[in-house]
Amino acid sequence: MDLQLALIFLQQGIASGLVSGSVYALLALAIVIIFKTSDVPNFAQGEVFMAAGYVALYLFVFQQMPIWVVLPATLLAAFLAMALFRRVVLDQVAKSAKDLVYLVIATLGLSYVLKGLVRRTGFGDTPRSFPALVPTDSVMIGQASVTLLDLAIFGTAVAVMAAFFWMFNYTKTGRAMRAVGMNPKAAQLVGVDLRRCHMLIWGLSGVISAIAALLISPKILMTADMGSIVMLAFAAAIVGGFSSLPGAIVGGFIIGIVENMVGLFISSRAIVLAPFLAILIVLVLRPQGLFGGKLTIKKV
Amino acid sequence: MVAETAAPFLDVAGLTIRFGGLTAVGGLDMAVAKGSIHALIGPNGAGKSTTFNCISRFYTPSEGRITYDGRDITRMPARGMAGLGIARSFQNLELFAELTVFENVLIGAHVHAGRSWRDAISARPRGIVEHVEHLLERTGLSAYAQTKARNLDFGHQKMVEIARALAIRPRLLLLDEPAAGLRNREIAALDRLLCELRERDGITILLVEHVMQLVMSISDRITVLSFGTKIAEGTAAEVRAHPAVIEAYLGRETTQETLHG
Amino acid sequence: MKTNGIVRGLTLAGGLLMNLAAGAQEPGITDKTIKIGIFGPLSGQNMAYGFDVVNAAKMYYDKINKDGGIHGRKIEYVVEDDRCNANDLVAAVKKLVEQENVFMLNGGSCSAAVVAAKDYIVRNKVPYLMLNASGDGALFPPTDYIFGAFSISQYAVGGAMVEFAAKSLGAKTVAYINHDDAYGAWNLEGSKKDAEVSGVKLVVESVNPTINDVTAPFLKLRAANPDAILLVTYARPAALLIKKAAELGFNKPIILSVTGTASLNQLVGNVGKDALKNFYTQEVMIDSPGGDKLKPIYDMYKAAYPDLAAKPDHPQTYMPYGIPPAMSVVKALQDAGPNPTREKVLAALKTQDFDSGVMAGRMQFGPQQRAANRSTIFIKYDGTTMTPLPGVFTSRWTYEPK
Repeated sequence: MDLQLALIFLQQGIASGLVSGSVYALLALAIVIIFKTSDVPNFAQGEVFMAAGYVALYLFVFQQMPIWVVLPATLLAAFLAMALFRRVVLDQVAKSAKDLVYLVIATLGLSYVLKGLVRRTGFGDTPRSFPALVPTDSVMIGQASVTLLDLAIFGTAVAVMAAFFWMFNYTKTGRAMRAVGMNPKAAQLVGVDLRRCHMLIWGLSGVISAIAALLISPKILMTADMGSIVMLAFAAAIVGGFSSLPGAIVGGFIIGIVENMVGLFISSRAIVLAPFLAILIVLVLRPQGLFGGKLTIKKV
Repeated sequence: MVAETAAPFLDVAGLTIRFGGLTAVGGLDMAVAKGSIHALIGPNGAGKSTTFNCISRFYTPSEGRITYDGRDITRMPARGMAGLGIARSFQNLELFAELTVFENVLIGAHVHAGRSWRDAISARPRGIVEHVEHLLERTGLSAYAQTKARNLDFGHQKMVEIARALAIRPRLLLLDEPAAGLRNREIAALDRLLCELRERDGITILLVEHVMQLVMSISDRITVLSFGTKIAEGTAAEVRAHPAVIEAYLGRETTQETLHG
Repeated sequence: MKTNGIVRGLTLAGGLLMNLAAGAQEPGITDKTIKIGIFGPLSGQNMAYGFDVVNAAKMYYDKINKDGGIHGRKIEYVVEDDRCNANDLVAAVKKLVEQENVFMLNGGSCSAAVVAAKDYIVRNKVPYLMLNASGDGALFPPTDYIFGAFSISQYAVGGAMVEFAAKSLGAKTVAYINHDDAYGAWNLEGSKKDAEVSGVKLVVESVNPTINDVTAPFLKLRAANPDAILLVTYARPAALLIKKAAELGFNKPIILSVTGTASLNQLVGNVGKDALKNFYTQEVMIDSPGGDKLKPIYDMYKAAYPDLAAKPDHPQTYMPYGIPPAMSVVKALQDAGPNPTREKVLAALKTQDFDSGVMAGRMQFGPQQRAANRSTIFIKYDGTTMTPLPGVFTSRWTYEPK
C-alpha cells in the first residue's frame, strides 16, 4: 500500500471511527453508570437501545407523528421501561436472592423479552431505515469524507456526554448517585433514598441508550438484532475501565477507531474480531482498563 | 443541668430485639433529654450496638417503641433519618473513601439540601460551600480539605465521619464509639467538640462508648446495659458507684479505678 | 416340543413372506394415486420464503390431476410446516416418510434447514426434490437421492454476475463483496472459473453479516479502481454498501445478487432513489417478478387462490419458484413409466433437462450434477422501474469430485 493511500485511509479511519465511536461511547456510558452503582452488568442494554429505536420508528414512520413529539416520547418510554424494570423486577430479585448473578440473569431475561416483543410486531422482519433528520450530504475533512449526519451524530453525542458529566458531578441528584455507587450505607445516612436513586440511574441509562439509537438508526438500518452493537459498547467499557465514566467514553472512541483501522489496514474479515481482541489485550496487559486506577486484588 | 420535666427528646420504651431464638435486648426503657449528652455503656455483648442500630433504624425491633420529638419512628426507614435531623456515625467508618475530605462533607450537605426538584438539578449552591468550610474548621480538618479520605490517619477519618454527620444540620447526633482507637490528645479534642455542640448548637447527643474517660467527662446521663437489660441509670457519679455496674464490668472483685477512668 | 417347533417355523416363514411382499410394494403408490410429501415454511418469521411457493406447487399438481394425472394415477399430496428451521424440518420429513408413507418428497425453502435432513433422507432412500432452497450443502458432493437448487445454487450466483459484468458492462476489474460464511466461500469459488475465462480480475472483500460500519471495506475496494461492484451479501449489508457508495460519490455500476434483497421496495426505502442511478439486480426467473413472461403463473395463482390473491402481500415474491420443482417431479414420474418405482424415478431425474418457462435457464441434472439452475438474468432498477436486460448469463462452474 503506498503512503498516499495509507494517509487517506488513516484520516478516513479516524473520522469514521470517531463518529461510530461516539455512539459506542454513549452506550458504554449507559452500561457503566449502572455497573458503578448497582454492580450489575446490564446485558439488556443492547435490546433497550434496539427497542427504543423501534418505538421511534413506529411513532414517526407508521403513526406519522411529528418529530418534536416522537423524540421526547421515545426518551420517556425508555426512561420508564428501565426505571420500572429496576423497581419491579430487580428490587424483588435483590430482596430474595443476595447473589448478583441473579440480577444479571434478570437482565438477560429482559433482553429476551424486548427482542421477542419487537419480533412479534413484525417490524423487525426486514431491515428498516429511520429517516435522517439531518441531510446526508458529504463534506470533506482533510481527505476524509463524512456526511452532515455524521457530524450531527458526533456533536450530539458529545453534547449529551458533557451534559451528563455536569449533572453527575455538580448537581444534588448526581452527587446522590455517586454516593450510592461509592457507599450505599453512607448514602442512606445523608438521606438518599436508595430505591428511588437506583430507579433514576436505570432510567437515565435507558434515556442515554435511546439517544444512541436515535442517533445511529438512520445510519445503520434497523433490525431486531441491532442490539448486538452492545458488544462493542462492552468492549469500550472494558478497555476504558469498567467503573470509570471517562474511561467508557474514551474506550468508545478507541473501539470505533480500532474497528476502522483494522478493517482498512488488516482485513475486512477481522473487523468483527477487533473489539474482542481489544478486550483480550486489555485484560492481559492492564486488566483494570485504561482509566481503572490502580489494580486492586480483592480477597474473596 | 437540663430540665427533667420536659418530655424526652428521644424516648425508647419497652425495646425488645430478638434474633431468632436469642433475645439480644429485652424491654429497654431509655429517655434522652433534649440538649443533653446521653451515654449508653456496658460490657461486651450487652446489646449496646444492637440498641443503637435499632434507634438509628438499621434494625427493626421485635417489640417496643421509639419516639423522637413526639414522633413515632419505630418503623421508619433509615434514609428518613436525615430528613428528621438525626445523624449517625459508624464505628467502622463509612466514608466515601475515594473522595476528599471536603467532598465527603459536601455530599452530606448538598444531598440533604432542599426538597424541590429544582434543587435536585441545581448545581452546588453558594451557601453550602461556606457551611462545609465552617464544619471543617470546627472539627480541625481545614488543613486536610483536599486530601483523599482514605489517605488520612484514623483519628482524622473519625472526625470526617462526624463532620459529615454535622453537615446535615442534625438536632440529634448518634455516635457509635467515637473515641475508639483515638489517642489521648484526640479524645480531648473530641470532648471539647461534643461539649461545644451541646452548649453552642443545642444538639442532643446519644453515644455508645467504651472509653470511660470520655463518658464520665461529658455525659449528663448514662444508661448501663448488661446481657440485654438495663442494670443502672443516672449521672456519672451515680453510675460509677453502682454495685451492679461494678459487678457487671469486673465480677465480684471491685476496683473502682477503672470506672473513674 | 415338536409342535412348538413347527409353529415357530411356520411363523418365521410367514413373516419372511410378508416382508418380501412389503418390499416389493413401493410406499406411497397405489393403482390410483401417488403420494407426495410437501413441506415449507408456512408460519414463523421466514414464511415469506415459502408460503406461496408451496401454494404454487400445489396448484401445479392440481392442474396435472385435472388434466388426467400421470399414467392414470392422481397425485395426492400431504403438506407439513417446517417453519424454516432444522428441527421442525427434520420432524416434518420424518412424519411424511414414516407416518404418511409418501412416495417422494418435494419441499424446503431454507437452505440451512434442508441440509439438516440430508442424512435421514439418504439413509431411508427417499427421492427428494427441494422447492426453492438452494441447499448446496446437501447437493455437493452429490447423493443418489437429493436434487435441488431450482432457484439457483450458491456456486452459480457469483459466476453469473461476473459473466454479466464482463459481457454486458465490459468490466475488466471487478470488486466482489461477499460474506465470511460458507455461502460466501461457495459463491466466490464458483465465480473464479468465470472470472478466469472472461479475463476479469476479482478484488475480494469478505465481511461479516453483522457488520455496521462498511467504510473500511468499501474504501479498500474503491482504491482498487474497479469497473463494477458485485454485492453478494444479504439485504442489510447490501443496503449499507449501496448507501456508502452514494455517500462517497461512487458512480460505477453496482450489481446486487439474488440473495441481496427480497423486496426492492424496501431497498429503495432504505437507500433512496439517488443511490440507484447505476444499479442492477440479479433475477433467477425469466422475467422480473410480475413481468409478462410470468403472467400465466400469476393468472393460475389468482384462479386457484382468489381469496389470497385479493390480499395486498400476495402472491409473495417467490411464488413462481414453486412451479419448476413440481414440474420436475411430474416429468420424472412420467418418464419412470406406468409402473414407477423409486429407483426408476431417480434414474429419470439424473438425466433431466427441460425448460420450465419460469426460470432463466434450463433445469439440468446429470450423473454428478444435482443443482438444477445455473443461469440468471439481470434487471436495471432505478427505484421505480425495472427494466430486464437481454441475455441469460450462465455460470460455468461444475462440480469436480476430489
